[in-house]
Amino acid sequence: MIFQAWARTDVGKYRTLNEDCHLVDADNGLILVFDGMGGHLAGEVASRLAMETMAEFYKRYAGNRTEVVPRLDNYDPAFSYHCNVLRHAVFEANRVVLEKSLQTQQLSGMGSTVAGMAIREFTVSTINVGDSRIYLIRNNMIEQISIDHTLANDQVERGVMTPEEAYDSDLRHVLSSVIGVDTEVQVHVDELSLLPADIFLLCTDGLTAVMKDDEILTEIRKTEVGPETLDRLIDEANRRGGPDNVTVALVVVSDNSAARMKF
Amino acid sequence: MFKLVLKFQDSVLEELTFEKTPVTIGRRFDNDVVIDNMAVSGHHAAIEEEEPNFYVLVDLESLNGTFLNEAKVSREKIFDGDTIIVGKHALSFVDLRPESERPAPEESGRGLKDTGAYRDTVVLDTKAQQELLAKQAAAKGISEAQLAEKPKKIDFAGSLTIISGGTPQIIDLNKRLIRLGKSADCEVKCSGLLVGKTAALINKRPNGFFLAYAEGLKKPEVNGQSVSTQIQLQDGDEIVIGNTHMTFNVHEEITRGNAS
Repeated sequence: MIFQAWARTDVGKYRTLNEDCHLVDADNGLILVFDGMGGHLAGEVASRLAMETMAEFYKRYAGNRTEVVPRLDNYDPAFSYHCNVLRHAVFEANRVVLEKSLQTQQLSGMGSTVAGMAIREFTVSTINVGDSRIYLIRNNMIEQISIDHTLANDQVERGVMTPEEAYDSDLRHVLSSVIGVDTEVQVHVDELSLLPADIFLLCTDGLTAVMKDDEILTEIRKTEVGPETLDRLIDEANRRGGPDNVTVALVVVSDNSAARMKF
Repeated sequence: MFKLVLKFQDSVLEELTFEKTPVTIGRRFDNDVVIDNMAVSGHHAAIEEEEPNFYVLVDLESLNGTFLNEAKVSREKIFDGDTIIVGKHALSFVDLRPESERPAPEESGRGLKDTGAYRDTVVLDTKAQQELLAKQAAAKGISEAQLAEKPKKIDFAGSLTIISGGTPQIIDLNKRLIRLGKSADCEVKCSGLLVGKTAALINKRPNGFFLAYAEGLKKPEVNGQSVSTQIQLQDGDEIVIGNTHMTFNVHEEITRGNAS
């Protein structure tokens, strides 16, 4: 299978700084979005540092296999080698961002979320920390693949709140896991087999704060998926107030036997 | 209408009364409140109005930040008696409107907002998180004992029994992705002329197991039906890939605690 990927980011209508960042590395099949926090440029430092660290680590140990494989923390045999490398890349980013945040007063407390995927020939590994999300659109239905690390979601899992209550709750904005803030970071991973026509959407909470899942699906389905779809999503988020930075990435999978991409 | 009392190290420097907003605060002399100190940015902060009857303190991306009652804020409602800190100077906010026109601090849901400006994403340490969650649960009348009981999760345990065309065995499907095909990398080796290197994948999802076709001129068959995309597997399904025949079995397992 082959894929196409695009990513866009926008500062939104409310903030003056964009602390989100994104990466599309077609050669390694890696697509990542980050939402940094810390204010006054610290958020931007955190998200960028997390992105560079993860990209570097993943490329090194998943792409070119001549490097000696490092000891991967918490190796989970239920997931593939590549998925474990992706997960360890987050642990590495966490270590690096935390260390940096302790070096300067201005960067103290900075952190970042991540929502990302690593595509292989027939499969994809997905990963998230925090409230940035990954959605799969398949058979005209939208499904959230990531799991929010927010107190609101924790309450839903514990049966204290319904998903509808969670959507309106302030606890939606309180994160229970973030890169760079604690020595341990909770990570959610998953692996899926790919089907032709699969569409993946990765986004930071600037989009999901103002658009519900079914509204996102409707917007995406208006035309054939391409980079203009991202512009429309961003425009819609801004039309609805643009309260935060918004970053969106789209990945479209297709079966093209005539022109196979090398993996 | 409100008053700002400008202080530096407990000495009152001046008192300013304002009827209209916005009121700007900063080092440059085009501000409504000029504070001549290097710790203060040229345009440091402003006070605006917000529907229906709130005053709001806004930080204008200042270098050292704007603080409201010791918490760093970007955009926060302010009430009578609050203290604004800009650089090393303090401004006491006095709401001069009659009581009837003022909002009550409770209306703003201040308790939660103290943790950060409205709509900002915040990170709390574990202890603070637990306190917040317990407070909300208590407000909803859910007891600690009920919460301590972890939620039940349904997990699916699947297996493949190889009947022919391969070593007879039962393979537990304990990985998220299981590959079936000719390649040595595959967890389930399948034989046959037109079988792909990766012929199919079995993907474990929250709601069960799914068989997806990958590559190869001969597609996999489930109960005699060719699979060209994906199909959910049911207990007892017969799968044929090339010359390899197998039976899929699945049963539910109730687990306590977090199974991710």
